[in-house]
Amino acid sequence: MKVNLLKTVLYYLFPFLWALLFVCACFVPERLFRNFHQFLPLVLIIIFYFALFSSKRLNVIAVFILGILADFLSPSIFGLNSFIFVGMFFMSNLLQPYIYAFSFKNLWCVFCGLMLLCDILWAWFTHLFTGVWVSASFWLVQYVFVCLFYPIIIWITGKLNHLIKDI
Amino acid sequence: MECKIFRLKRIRAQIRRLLPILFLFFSLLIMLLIRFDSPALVKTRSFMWEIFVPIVSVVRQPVYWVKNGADGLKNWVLTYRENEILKKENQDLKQWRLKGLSLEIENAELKKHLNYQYQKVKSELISEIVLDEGGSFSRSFVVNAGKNQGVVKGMLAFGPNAITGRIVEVGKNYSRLMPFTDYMSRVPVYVGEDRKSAVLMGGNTDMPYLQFLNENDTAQKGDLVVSSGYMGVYPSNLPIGRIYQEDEFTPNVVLFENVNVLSFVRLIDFGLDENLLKQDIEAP
Repeated sequence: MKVNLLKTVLYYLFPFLWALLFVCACFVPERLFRNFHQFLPLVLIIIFYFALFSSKRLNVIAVFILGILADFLSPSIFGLNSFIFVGMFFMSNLLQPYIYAFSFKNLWCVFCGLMLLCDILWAWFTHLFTGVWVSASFWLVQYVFVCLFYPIIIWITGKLNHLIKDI
Repeated sequence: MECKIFRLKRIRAQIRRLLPILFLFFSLLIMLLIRFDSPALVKTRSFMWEIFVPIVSVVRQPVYWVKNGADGLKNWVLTYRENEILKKENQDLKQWRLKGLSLEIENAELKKHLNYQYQKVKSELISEIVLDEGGSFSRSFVVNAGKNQGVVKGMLAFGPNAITGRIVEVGKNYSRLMPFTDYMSRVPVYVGEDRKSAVLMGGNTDMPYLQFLNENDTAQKGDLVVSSGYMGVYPSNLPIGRIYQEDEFTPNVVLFENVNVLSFVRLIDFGLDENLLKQDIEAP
């Protein structure tokens, strides 16, 4: 009985803990590549994935909490991270009926579109609140890298999810 | 009864559909109402550092191992080439050392004649960079020294080569360092030998740019950029970088110190602006 309860708790907490781990990892000083934010796209990928396939396990309140946490830890505009995270969740949820049955390739294209929207919102809000247009070079490089190399991560996330489900 | 349950279910479904929109508006409201430098937020942020720095330190280890492994491999491949470069550099440095020694003696002699007052250092400590809060849209670091260790707002951070930025928020055991590359950074500087006044602006790239040069002044490629000491935040004549690109409107500056590769910084309090200390916010 206790084991079953633990399994259920783990099953429902897994996406949140996974995303929380990556939110913490966002602030690690070591970067694999110079100026490359390796973990923030992973948080957005997790939100995208669970908003599409299992929004009961990672609901909007959990996403908002993750965003607020990122806001507390980052020095930029307070509320921006939570806005982007919830926005990603909302858009993914909104598009769910249209893309649910699509292939991985099509899902990825939708994610690239949403990611671009998030990046534009990030830059635009930063400009709106501080009056500064940040250089596009870094986030463009990061965006291209994420779109090219991160599909593998979403695949691993899916596999891990199924593994925990099977246990 | 069934109708009631059906209605309740419908209301629940509607609330579930509306919830993301509500949270979106709530986030927007937070953005509009809470300034990113408001005292309450700064207090809470420093409290969050106390909780999350130990967690990040644990998460950091695997990334650190991977990065170290990659660096080791890179070093192994590049050792021969680097050795050749270092030999050349060593020869150059030996010549510069001799030149430097004679200039040092000459400088000390001249300062004696001028009765020059040295910039006094009030306090100094070395601390480790424990959080990198930067990304594509901001550049900022958290160091593991705060009020308890004697850090005060306005302390300047130095790497092994040159100045990198200053402390802008102080918590109990942690502080936030804003480097010159952050988009909020503004440093009054002198450019070149004829000391043209300008402001060094961070743009979230590795190379900040100059603004507010006088109409007739131009910055040449290779010109030295030093702090001017205006407003009393930075002492004067601290070397910051060199002009990298001659752009008529916004010349880029390549910094002497790349904060992205630093693990430790030296924090120095020159005691320049006491007002900054007065504005310092109490940690919770």
